[in-house]
Amino acid sequence: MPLSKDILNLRWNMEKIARKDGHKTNLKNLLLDAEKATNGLVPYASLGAHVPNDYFSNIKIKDAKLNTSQNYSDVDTSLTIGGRYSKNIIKTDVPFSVAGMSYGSVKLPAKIALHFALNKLAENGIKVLMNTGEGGALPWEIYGSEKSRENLSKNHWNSILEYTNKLLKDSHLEDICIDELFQRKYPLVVQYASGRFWKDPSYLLNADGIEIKIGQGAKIGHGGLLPGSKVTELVAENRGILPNKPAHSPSRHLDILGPEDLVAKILEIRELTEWKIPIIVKIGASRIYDDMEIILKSYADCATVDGVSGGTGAAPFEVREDIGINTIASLFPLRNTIADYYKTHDEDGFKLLVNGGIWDSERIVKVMALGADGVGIGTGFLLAMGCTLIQECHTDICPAGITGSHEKLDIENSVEGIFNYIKTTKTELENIAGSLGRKNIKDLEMSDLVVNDMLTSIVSRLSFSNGDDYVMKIKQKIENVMPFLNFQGE
Amino acid sequence: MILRLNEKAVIRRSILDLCKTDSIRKESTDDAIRAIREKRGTKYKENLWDYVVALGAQLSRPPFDPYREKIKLKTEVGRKGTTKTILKIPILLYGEFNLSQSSQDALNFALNNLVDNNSTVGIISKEEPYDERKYPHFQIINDVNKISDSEGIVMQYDDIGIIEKIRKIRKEFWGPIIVEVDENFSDYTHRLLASGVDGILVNTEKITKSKKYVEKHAISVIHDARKIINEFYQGKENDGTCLIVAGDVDSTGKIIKSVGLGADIVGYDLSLLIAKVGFYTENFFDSIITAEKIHNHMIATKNELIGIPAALGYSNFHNMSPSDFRTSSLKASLEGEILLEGVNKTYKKIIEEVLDEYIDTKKISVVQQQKQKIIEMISLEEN
Repeated sequence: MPLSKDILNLRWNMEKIARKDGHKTNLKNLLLDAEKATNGLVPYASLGAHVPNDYFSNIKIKDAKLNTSQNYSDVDTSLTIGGRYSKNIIKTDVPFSVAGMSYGSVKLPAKIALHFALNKLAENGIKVLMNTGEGGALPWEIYGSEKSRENLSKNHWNSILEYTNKLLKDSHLEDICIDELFQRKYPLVVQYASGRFWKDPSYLLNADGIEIKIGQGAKIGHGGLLPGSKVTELVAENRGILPNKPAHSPSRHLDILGPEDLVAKILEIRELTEWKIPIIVKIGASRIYDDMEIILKSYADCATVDGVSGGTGAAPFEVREDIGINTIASLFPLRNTIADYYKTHDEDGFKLLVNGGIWDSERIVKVMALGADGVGIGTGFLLAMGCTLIQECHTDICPAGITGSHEKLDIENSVEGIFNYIKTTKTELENIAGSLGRKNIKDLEMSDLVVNDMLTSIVSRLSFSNGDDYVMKIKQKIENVMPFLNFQGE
Repeated sequence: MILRLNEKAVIRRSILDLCKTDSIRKESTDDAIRAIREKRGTKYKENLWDYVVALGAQLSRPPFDPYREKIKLKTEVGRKGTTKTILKIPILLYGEFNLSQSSQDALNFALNNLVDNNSTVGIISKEEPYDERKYPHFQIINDVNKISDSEGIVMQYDDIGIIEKIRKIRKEFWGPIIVEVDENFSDYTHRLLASGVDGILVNTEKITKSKKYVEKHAISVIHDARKIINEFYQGKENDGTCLIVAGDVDSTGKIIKSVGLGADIVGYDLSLLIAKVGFYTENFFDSIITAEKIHNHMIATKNELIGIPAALGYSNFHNMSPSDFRTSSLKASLEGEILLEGVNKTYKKIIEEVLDEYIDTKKISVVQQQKQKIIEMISLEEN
């Protein structure tokens, strides 16, 4: 939904009011109210929720060094997904992936920058997993390998090229070499979401992994959303929907209403893909115990859990703010549920990926030490392309030209930024794990972390730097109040 | 996370450092954020409401689809035997101050329009009701002999003779009677309910300013008020008594959390609503434009209210309960007995478990009362 001139004026008026009272006025809420009063529509928001406590900064990595003169490049930071039920296994060189950001929610130049950056990294020996997001894949993502183009008829290939040329022309990117574009050297996970924004099975068959998206942290129980202003003719063509109208995916898969339906759906996809492709189930962090138990008992290879601060291109403001729990808080129930399951089952390579509020090496280490096998990063990549965090991805005023506006994104600089971001994050991960004496990032443990407040200790089960845990702290409190009461020991 | 500008700057700078210089950072971003927060201290005190979140439905319970399925917001005001008033949005606009004529006209016009659009909200006001209204008007009265032609009555609680007054009104008035209570509501609410009152109105802003609730939050008031009403109905079905929460409920998120934690209806501050829709558009004195904006605001709010229960897996707004909510604050957990996120226990329960273990290990004899006292004392530290 574009910001009307009226609303932009309101914002300016409110900014003046907020400045006058020393910014005590909650500008965002005032703006939302004004927006509601002006157009009578549910206001949207984007990026992550404004949760006041995300625990991350209350957790410290013990004795770890980001920057060290020692060389720890032998530390294994790889991640594998699949093999539990699938014949194929995805192997990446870093434990983080590009979280789902679809074409439409981000503009074409940003998608191309990510594509080229990941190709460049692969050429340099660092394979990074890319998730398409729920809005379907771009032609060069699906048909980015010789093998995927083998059985295409000439007509089909011509129509793909025609659409590709339209895409490039629309973004004034005609200079891009088509041959170079149609080379995908990194593993790709495609999303199978409730909107079914894809045209034919090649979307699933040519992917390296399939993620069944049940929910996402920013809009749990709501379904995907792309504001009408961002559904251009080309986005609509890619998704198979009408242009200029908001794309509201159903809040649930119409054929997945419960655990048995999930099993049926996974088996259906397994048959379609000849049991080759790893299948991931993605949920938002909410009723963790129940949802995770269902995923473990389905035929999934991996689960992705998205914390409430996980970003989005657009979500109703109140849904984003008020539904879902924090990434760190979700890890204790996740660990417990997985451990309970494997008390009666043999280890079979099930993987847990976690998203939401993670953008650098330290946060990756924190969630991995708390039980995750890998993480998804979204906002970090946007920042690497120049995002200013104004959180207006749902409108057409992105000053960096990443999510929507007439600003032009510098693809070359963005590719360089993403390349360096991933490379240095990998080195930082090696340094942290290496300085903690680990040879493999998977060997990180909870004992590598300490907390500095009671609540974080309770939700994460981590200890304080002096070795006390929350139970000891409460016992100390009990002992402190004892003298005020008259007790008799036996 | 509520990222203030300086925190955003730290994160952005940190990532850009990685991107541009291709060199390893020297400073930890989380350490820098922590330092900013410590330096800030309590200068920007966050609202406890922000620490409360709902649990969305996914695999273990399918969500409803608010765009394609019907979600009920309808609320009845009135107990068995009274003439019930129906609200299509569980909101009563609540204001005690004198509105200007133009504001009153705007309000009347907007509320009638809402009724026409199947979105009835009511109003609590001390003004005389408009003759040509289609919406329910709850009149605040002080004099029991001056009952006007309103759908409901709101009275302030006073020690002397409130029960008598209610009985007197009831002889000639069959609509809902609501009593606005003060901070001592736990002492007399059962008596009020026994006398046939249809609803209890708690103004959290007023009550949290009282000595009894000093330093406490609206969450605590809602929790206590709901507890008292539930105690009255222990072992029997609630025959329609409703809890109306007004005060610190000025956004859709707060309405949802209030209802989830125990309210049935929300008293939305009328002056605030008019200020929000009128003042900032600089058309405060234009009745038609103000009316349109009030109408728009309420319709958008209605659609927001529909979206949340749907995402939680309910087709009825009033099916939300405290078990659907979690908190990331010890204080909120203590005040509203809200389960902590991830661990699914209240902080009080955690203290109790540790205390039991402590008593067992130390082999000391503690009576229940003493146990409660210890929990209270530890809880007070957090508050």
